[in-house]
Amino acid sequence: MARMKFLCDAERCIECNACVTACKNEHEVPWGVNRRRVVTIQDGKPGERSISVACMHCSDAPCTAVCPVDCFYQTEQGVVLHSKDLCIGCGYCFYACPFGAPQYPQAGNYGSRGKMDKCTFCAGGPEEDMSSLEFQKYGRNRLAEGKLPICAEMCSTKALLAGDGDQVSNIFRERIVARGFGSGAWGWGTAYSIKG
Amino acid sequence: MLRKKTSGVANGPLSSSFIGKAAETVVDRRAFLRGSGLAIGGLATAAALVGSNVTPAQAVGSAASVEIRKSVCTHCSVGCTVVAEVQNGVWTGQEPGWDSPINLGAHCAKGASVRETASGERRLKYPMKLTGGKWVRMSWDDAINEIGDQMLDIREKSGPDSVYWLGSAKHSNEQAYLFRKFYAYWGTNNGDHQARICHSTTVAGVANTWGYGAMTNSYNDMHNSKAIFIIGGNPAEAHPVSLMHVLKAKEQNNAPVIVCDPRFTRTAAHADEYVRFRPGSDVALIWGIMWHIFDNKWEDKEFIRQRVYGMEDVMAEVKKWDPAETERVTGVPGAQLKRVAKIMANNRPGTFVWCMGGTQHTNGNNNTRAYCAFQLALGNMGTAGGGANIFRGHCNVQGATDFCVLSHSLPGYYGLSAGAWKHWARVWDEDIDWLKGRFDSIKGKDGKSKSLMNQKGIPVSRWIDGVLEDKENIDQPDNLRAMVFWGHAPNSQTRMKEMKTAMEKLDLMVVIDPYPTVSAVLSDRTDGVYLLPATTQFETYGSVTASNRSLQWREKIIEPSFDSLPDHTIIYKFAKKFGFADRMFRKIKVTNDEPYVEDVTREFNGGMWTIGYTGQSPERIKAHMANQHVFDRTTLQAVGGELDGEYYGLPWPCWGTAEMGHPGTPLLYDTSKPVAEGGLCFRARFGVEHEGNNLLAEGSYPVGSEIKDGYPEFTMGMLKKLGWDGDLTADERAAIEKVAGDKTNWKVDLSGGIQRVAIKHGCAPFGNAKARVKVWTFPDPIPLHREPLYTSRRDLVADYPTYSDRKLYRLPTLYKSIQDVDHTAAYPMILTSGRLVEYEGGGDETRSNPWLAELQQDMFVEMNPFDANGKNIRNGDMVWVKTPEGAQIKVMAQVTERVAKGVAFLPFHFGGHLEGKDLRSKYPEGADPYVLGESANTAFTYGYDSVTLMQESKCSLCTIERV
Amino acid sequence: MIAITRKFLVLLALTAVVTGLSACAEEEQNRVLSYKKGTYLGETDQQLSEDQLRTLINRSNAQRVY
Repeated sequence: MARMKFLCDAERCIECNACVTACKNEHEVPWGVNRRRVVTIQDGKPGERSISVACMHCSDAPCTAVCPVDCFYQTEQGVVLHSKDLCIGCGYCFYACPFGAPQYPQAGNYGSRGKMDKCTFCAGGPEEDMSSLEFQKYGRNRLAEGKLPICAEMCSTKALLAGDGDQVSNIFRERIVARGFGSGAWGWGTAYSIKG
Repeated sequence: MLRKKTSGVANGPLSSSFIGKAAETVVDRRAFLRGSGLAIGGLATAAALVGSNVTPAQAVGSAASVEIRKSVCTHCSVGCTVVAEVQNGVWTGQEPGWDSPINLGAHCAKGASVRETASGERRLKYPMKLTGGKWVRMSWDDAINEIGDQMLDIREKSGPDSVYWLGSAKHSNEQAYLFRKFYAYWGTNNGDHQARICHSTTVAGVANTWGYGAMTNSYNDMHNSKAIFIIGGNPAEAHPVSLMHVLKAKEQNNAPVIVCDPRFTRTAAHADEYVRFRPGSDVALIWGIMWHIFDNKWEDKEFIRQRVYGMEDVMAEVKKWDPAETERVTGVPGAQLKRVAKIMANNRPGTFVWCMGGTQHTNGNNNTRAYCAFQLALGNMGTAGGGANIFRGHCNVQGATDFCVLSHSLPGYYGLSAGAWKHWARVWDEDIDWLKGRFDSIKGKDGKSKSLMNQKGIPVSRWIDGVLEDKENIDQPDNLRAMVFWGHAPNSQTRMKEMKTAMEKLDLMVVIDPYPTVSAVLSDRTDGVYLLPATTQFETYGSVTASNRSLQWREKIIEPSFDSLPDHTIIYKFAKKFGFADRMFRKIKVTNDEPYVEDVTREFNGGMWTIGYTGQSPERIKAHMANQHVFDRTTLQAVGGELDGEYYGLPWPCWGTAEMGHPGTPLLYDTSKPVAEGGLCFRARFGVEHEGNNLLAEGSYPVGSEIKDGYPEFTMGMLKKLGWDGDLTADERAAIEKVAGDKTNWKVDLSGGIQRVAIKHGCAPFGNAKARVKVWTFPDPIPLHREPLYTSRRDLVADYPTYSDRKLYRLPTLYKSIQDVDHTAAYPMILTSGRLVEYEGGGDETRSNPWLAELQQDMFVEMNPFDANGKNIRNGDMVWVKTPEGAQIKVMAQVTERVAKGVAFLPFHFGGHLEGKDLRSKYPEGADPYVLGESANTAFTYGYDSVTLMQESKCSLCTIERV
Repeated sequence: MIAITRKFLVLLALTAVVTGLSACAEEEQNRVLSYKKGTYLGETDQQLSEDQLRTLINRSNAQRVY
């Protein structure tokens, strides 16, 4: 059974932001809401590394644990989704999330997509798959179309991988062997309670 | 409520989370900028205005079936395939172009958001003119008539050279070709495009070294590299997808990556060896590395003996660059350069990448030739994994250069000689005397009249001088009086304050572009400016040449937005107005004023023999686009199927006619393959001997060559001498006879027969010679280090002075008189510039894209903490950057060690602010980019390359003060 | 006079309470009003089919371009 995961290879990420704009483009995400972003450490100094960050769809998701209205659910593939009908926009999930993933519109609701917004692993939400309503509330449902998240699929250097956890870690492991050193898959310990 | 469930809560409090850590330890460039720009005008509406007329939300879920159309990204030159989903004529989504062997589905921020470029709201929507300071909408017919009448009047009174046709690296090949032909028919050589200010010094330097002025290998071929040397280039931001190929070599070949740059770039962050050197000291740096190569005898002696001319003269110059002198000039310690030399010597073949950091200098042509000498010394040329991989910056700057939207040549680098004009007149079926009659003439120094047809025009870098310079000092009848900016961002050019004055002095300004551009707002004109909406390349179709010389075919994704028209249609409309449409388009079908693109391709196929743009028929290019999956991702060669053996995009030279079926040349000068299969040798372009020395190759030739040595370029006479003329068909023979009999050479034989027969015998039509590292026709035959005009190192001026003042391309050009003045007391810092990943060129297009604009909202200057602290400037403070010619720009300070002490860096994509003044209100309503900012080039100063008049925008002086 | 007013007010209050409570019905509000701690009560999402999953796994593997 497939378990969907993201993996960002910090040795490959060049902070080009393709993942960010691909996401905006795919889901028509409005200005000010960033489901995915790129974080750079040691900016401008030797050791500078960048990582693309979004909801990691954690195994035991803290957001789900703290939500007062239980609007989160996890699909069989491990994708953490939420119902915008239930969400009250309280912001608890933001404080709980180790990745800073939950986003809120700057002022009030925007369109029909109010409340908390976050990366859906391009899996839409609790509306009919690939319906116009699902698109308006949650964005496109690529998984239902047989496609993986657009951010990873368009990554300029293939630093960001997404998909079945076993496949993704195999790809990454092969890279580590070729490089002769490993830097760890960023955030995997936190998200999936495994190291690397 | 947080206590509701305790199990499974985050592994720690926020402050210890990854993001928390990152945010605490550093503030990166984007975090720094993102928070600051929220109050900028125009952004408030951005959130509400995302998307097109019909959003995917409306289209998705509707019954309309999804059509897939393929195009090519319109930003840098990597040539990434864009796969568009179209529903009901609306571009609803982008999918990864997996099958493309070039990008394998990958995009950068710009490529991943091109849908907005074609469907966005902030486009120039209708033809408009500036009347009494207001933009007034008008019809296309009225616009063409009004503009045309004014131009014809200028032509009548001041001659055709007073109208300047500034074209674009965003044209398709067909549009570029038509544009070049168009200003030939208008009767001037005053036309040019961005290549002048991007890689002109590369093209001149490289073509004069080994024959062709283009990237020799390909992005994919870097998979074969054992070492990667990048100087003056930041591909991680400027060509992000190329890094996929670089990192493959780095990881799988364990290839060391060496980055030489004054700035610790995002590319440098992935380097094994980062060499920080002083801006403008490239030649010194390269010679300093080669000093170690020669000192240790690491050069490839056999390669040099067979295939290089003049290396001993380079050695003599390099001898002067011992570690001490190199460190004095470049600031790089000898030990590091020895290590670099050793890495490059021990890891062959290594590839050599350069970009604007090397080219945009007053001695840019010296830099590019020094790079070539470096690769030749190591024997890294003409081999997989080696080469001079010159990354070009715009989607079709290679194509537009090849079609010579330039002021000094006809398409195919034929030049402007009488023979060149005759060749193209023959291709066009044009009466050469009629063409001659279109041109003006001037009196030469000898008192004789000479036609301006054969004289280089004014380059784009100097159009402002064509307007402002005293008429008596310009080698043409009158000043420039009308400017046409056809897909050009004025803020990509230096000296913008003078440009503003020049714009105000013009009689007429015409902007033809999908966006109003900075041209619409920079000047204080209130009348006489026209804005004509052109389509993007996603609203039309045609071929485009990537940096690796591969041609790709773009399909039309959507119909033109608003009132916009494709460039070729606008060209036709003007040709009709000027009365030469029937002549110019006699071989091209035209429907509703739109020329049939495939006919244009076929017309240039019939004339571009010099560089082999002859075999790429529209049908062949389209077949490659349709079957991208069959091409190998490293060699780019098709495996199996109907295209078996062909190289992706038929990289030029694709010799002979399409029927001949040449597979294209994936690597230039690679003798390991027969010419018929994409092999090549260095071109015999500079004669057969120089000062008594043989210039032809010695004992080196492409596999399968029947001539086992060097030979000159092919002519009919040579075929006869070799006894190969019997291989010509009767038709070919007749065509050759018609041109110039035995004197007909491979470049002007319209049948392609000479090429075909030469290749049949395993020979390269252009001869087989040595590359030359000594270009005796240039100001510095052996590349020399010369201090920048605005140098911070007065102590080096005496030893390494610049050139004397001179006249180039019709205009007086200053060197020494500028360098003589010492500005360092008032302007102690070095100023340099470069690109950001989110934006491209002048940025009008990308700053109008909300998905990109959101990521980079403020113009900034990078300065070292040492300099900032000395001036009491803190991160985020607004500062004035002031330069010696009296300009100042108001930007945000970013304090970072990315730049060295005493160096400041400006990104150059911003526009719409001028010396602290916001010009947003001057844009046509609804067509202002989301993000505006000061242009780096307002601050940048005078300085031009001694061969091509490339502008100096990498090295000037400045001072920075708090606002 | 006072008594009538009081009666009227009580009636009014009762009506208000009844009306108010009836407006709290979940179906009328069109949202979940009573929560079960730790249980998701929103609309149920569709499951991916075996075929869809197989496609996705293959596509995951296809990311191994370099």
